[in-house]
Amino acid sequence: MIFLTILGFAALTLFDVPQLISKKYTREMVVYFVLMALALTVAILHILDVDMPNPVKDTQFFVEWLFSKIHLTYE
Amino acid sequence: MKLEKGIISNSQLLFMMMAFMQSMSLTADFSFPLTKQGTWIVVLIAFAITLPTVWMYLTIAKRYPGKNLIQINDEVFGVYLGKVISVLYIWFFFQLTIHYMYFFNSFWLTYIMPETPRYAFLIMFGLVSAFAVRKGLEVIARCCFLFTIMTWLTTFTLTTLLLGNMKLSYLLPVLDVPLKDFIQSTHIMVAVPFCDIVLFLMIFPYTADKQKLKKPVLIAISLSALQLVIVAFRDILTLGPQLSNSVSASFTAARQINLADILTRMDILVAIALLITIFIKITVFYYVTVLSAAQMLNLRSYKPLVIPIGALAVMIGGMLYPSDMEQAYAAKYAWPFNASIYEFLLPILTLVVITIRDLAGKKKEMEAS
Repeated sequence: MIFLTILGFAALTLFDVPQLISKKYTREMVVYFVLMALALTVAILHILDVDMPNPVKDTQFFVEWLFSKIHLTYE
Repeated sequence: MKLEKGIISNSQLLFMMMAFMQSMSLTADFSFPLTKQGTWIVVLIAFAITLPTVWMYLTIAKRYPGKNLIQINDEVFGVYLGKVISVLYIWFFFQLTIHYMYFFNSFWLTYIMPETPRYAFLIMFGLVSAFAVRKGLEVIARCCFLFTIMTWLTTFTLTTLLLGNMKLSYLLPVLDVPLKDFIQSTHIMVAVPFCDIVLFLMIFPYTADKQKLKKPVLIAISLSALQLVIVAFRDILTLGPQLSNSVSASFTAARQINLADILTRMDILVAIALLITIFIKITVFYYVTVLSAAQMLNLRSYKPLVIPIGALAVMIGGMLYPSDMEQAYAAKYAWPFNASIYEFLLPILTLVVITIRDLAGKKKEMEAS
């Protein structure tokens, strides 16, 4: 499964990387690979059943907590 | 350098906004358990609150014609604070992309194909969205016209077919809910489906006539509110007391259609309408996330960011909540506050800073002359 995921991500990079290299967009390439590495790490950790904090879920509860400090809450 | 070279006409903007807002008939489900048969009043009040908010967005857009939200932030708040606020906005758009992905996925898995693996729909959906985003704003805008018409047709068909099942007495008692629930329901209604349109501050600079934005925007919001009122009335009148225990009111209502045992199971129409509207919603959010990230990082093209951000969104979107109950909880208690920061507080702050800057500029001019 991990192998398949890596293969899938490798296939995805084929869309952009050749163009980026031919146009010599280095800055774009750095951003591209950082984000891709992040996504691949999340995918592999998910396959390995590692418990990860979910930033998208947690920020909204954090904001709710912040508002509850000034007594704005529905609970 | 301009990142998006496409230009959409103002009527395309109108249809884009309508297609974008149409999925609100499904997100209205978060309000039904709170205000039950009074939800139609909530929709009208939310519409009334939205109008001044949209006026605020339009004023900001008019003050800086041809500039998108990220550039406006840079200009209003300066380079460093502007970047911080831009990051917050990008995070907001990214969060919304993921929330709608989860929403779509869990709906489809719960009602239509429960045996499918969790990521199957998301990956396919993500690829289609990524394709649309790579093609740019013009292509997305062109789909919207067709999708708007299709969703309106679905709404009318279902409402007409359900006319026989409706009972006017279900509207009574009008507003028999505590004030706190009413306020909460209105807050959800304003924050979730209506004021999402803050993201159009990223799209306004790519319209053909930037001075006449008011008309298409107001028409789009009014028609969407009208559609939502129709849907709310239909669901309330058909379901009555069942309303508060159904997870998706439109879906449950459509199941009641039975015309001489021939026309049954029309609920799939709701599912298709959801697929179409959520597609537009996710694609526009996705597009705006990618565009604003590219703008902030000063890239020469936004296209290299499409696939990485999409992959990240799909990965996080699949496992956002352990269950739908938590999603409903978050939408009711946490999300309205989270969204209020970006939809009300930051635009108000922007407007205040713009006014102060204008006043200071005038004073300097007077001193110079």
